[in-house]
Amino acid sequence: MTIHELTRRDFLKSTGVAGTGLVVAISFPWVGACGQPAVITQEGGFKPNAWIWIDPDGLVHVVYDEHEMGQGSSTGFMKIVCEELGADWAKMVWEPVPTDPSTWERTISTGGSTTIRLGWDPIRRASAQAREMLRTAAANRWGVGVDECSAGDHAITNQASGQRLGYGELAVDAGALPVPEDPPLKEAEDYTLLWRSTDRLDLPDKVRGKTQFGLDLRLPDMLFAAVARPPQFQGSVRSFNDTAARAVPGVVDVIEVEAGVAVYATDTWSALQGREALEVEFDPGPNTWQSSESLLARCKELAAGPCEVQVEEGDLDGGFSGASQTLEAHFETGFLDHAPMEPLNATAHVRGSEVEVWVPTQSATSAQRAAAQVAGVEPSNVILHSMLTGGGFGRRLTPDDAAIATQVAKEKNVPVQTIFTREDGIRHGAYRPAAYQVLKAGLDAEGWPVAFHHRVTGPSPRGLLTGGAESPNYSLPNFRLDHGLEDWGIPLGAFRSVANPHTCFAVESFVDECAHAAGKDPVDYRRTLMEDVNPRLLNCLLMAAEKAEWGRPMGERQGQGIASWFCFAGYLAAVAEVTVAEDGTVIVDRIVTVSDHGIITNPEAVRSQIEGGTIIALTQALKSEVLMQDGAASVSNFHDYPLLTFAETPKIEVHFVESMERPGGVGEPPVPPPPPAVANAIFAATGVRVRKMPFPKAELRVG
Amino acid sequence: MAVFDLLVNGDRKTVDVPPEMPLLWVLRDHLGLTGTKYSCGIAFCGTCTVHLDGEPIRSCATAVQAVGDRAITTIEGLSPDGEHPLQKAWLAEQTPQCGYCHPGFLMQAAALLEENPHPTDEEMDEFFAGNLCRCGTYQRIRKAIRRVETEDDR
Repeated sequence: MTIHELTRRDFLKSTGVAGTGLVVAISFPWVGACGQPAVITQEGGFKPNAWIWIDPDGLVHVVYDEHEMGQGSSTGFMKIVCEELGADWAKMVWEPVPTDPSTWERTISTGGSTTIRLGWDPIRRASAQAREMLRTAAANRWGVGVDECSAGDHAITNQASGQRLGYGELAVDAGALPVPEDPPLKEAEDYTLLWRSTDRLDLPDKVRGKTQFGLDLRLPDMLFAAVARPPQFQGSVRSFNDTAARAVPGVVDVIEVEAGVAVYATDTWSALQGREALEVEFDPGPNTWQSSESLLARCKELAAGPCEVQVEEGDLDGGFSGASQTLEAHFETGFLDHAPMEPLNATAHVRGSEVEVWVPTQSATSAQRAAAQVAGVEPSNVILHSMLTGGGFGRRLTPDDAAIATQVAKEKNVPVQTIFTREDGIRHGAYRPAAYQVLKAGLDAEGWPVAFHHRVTGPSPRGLLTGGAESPNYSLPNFRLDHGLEDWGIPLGAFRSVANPHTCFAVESFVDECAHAAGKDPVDYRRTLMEDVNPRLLNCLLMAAEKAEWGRPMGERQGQGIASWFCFAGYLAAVAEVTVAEDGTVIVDRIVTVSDHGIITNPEAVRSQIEGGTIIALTQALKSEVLMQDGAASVSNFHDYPLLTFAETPKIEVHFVESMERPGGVGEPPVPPPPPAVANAIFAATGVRVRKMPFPKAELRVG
Repeated sequence: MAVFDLLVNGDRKTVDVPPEMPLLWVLRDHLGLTGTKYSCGIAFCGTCTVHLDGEPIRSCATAVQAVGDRAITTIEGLSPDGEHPLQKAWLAEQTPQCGYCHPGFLMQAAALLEENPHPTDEEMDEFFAGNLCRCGTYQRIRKAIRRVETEDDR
């Protein structure tokens, strides 16, 4: 397997945007990631579709039109092609994301755990087209039927004679054939690569410090910029005095742009120092009433008022009136910032009607459109370089980085790299919204739910608030989901698993409460309620209970808790084991997960995703929240927005259901279950229900 | 502005920068060594870790004027060929995800093993207290370090 190295000139040629007069040589972020020498590519060969090109040397070039942000799906994607094509892994070439998303086959955007599960059909089909054309080319060469020609090991074999022709030898002939519409697909039992672990292609450079992330881009004559922005989301610049800023060595200019006041310098530090020296007066805008407390109070008002019904099944009121007992619990979760380790950044070069942008983005399509809009050009006039990304988690689906960098660069005739410091990023996020949820259940005499009401309140839009609550994984007769939402003018976005972490926290904690109120074991209780509704999730739940030795004796102030969830076509159950210290500190000792993702293309990479999803989930449960004050975020960096640490990492044991179902999602499913599993374990350890994230330590203190 | 003569990965480099400029930005913007990463800028995450005479320091909070004649080692200079035992172990455990914090973790780990070839889990916890990873690769980092130890014993 090789990673393609291209000069800028080659790249322009191969992507059909030659003639722009650009000859800046840049290295692509993944160049040499496998320590392989650069590929010298021969022209010609055949290209049955947009993704695949087999050259006369037999190298299989694959356009990975998704984003590698550490989730490893680039390797999984390449494996799907290799498997279906019957190719040699060493002859696969990873080609960069296309630089003109506006003319590409599909939207270039990576989110929702979709790369593998939604790529599964088109990418296998694209690969099978190439394979079938190679088979036909060989059959024609030998004058035999196609059925007598089998594909594998990077060659077509004449089954009768044993003759072989390599893919490179057939590439030119194959190119003269029609592309089959509906090629047959390889049978799952014949897979030799999927469900087996393959070393990730992006890692060798990463351990050597050679990977070029967005912030590592260096271009001739480039400037660096930082933008002073109003702290309030709806604020604006009233006036500024740049005398002191301009006196900072290295600062070359100060210009007001739409987002704020940009300070340009010859290096990053000087830009930041210049911004520090800038005197700006901001208008805070209309929302200074907003604080974490006032917004929670507003949620409670919304929860008390009329709410809009999203799902209604059966007769809720009738269910409650026939119930033997009624339970009600309220769950609070705060705003979250993704805080990827690579801070937001983008580099732009605006040359009249032509724009070039380099950005570590999850959505090249959105970034191209955003830059085009700012520059006042058509999207196709924006050359969009999708850089390797130092963490995304959904933050890089919002193209504010590309938009602001283009505003900044528009004022200059050289490339400008705009850096958003950690503080900039946390104060101007695309936050996971805060939510306040009211859950109410009516249980019959045996403790089974006969009415279940889930109310979600917080900022709109609905998709970021109620997702995951619409279709419970339990048999819940007389069910209602409703919501009270309003626009607060706070920038929101999708954070890994979107609404599921807070809806799962509420539902899986509350179902545990119901189980206890019913006097039943939480696993047994869930089993009965889940078996008719979600057998695959139940399978994970029962396996997790078994792997974790559910019910094993625990020490004082120790406990086990369980939770499970289905989202993004992935099923995951987690058992948590915790120790709660006398001062209320929650120590998570162990997390056992069992998940079902259908066919897994690269198990070790998926295992890594589950481990990481667990850590990001525990950070939400135990550590951080973006607090609001005076209409702005009042936290700014890792000292007041802490992440889970090395020492706080539990033993994480990951198990998979060996499934041959079509691939499901991976990145997001591990995030929702751990927090409620830990909360349920805390209850088992202390008898206290925690219904707020991050968990309130004070409620768990002894005495 | 002031001229500083620095020893970086064995090479002499001269830069003309403000004396208070953090070493991080001297490396990244003036010497083209972008393997050392910026993430928090307040010495809270360890992403920018480099060695000064073998000691791990946070280059985002170390002014270039404080470096003196100490030898600077960055991720690019951890080993001549990228084959440091930790780098190999990191790959064997398929450790990074996004990989952005890993130059810092690798430099911190190299300093740890230099000082203490057989750290206990608690010693590791303490040594990595200031290194953060948002992708959550901590468990693999621990395993990768243990792998180096085990291989050393063979």
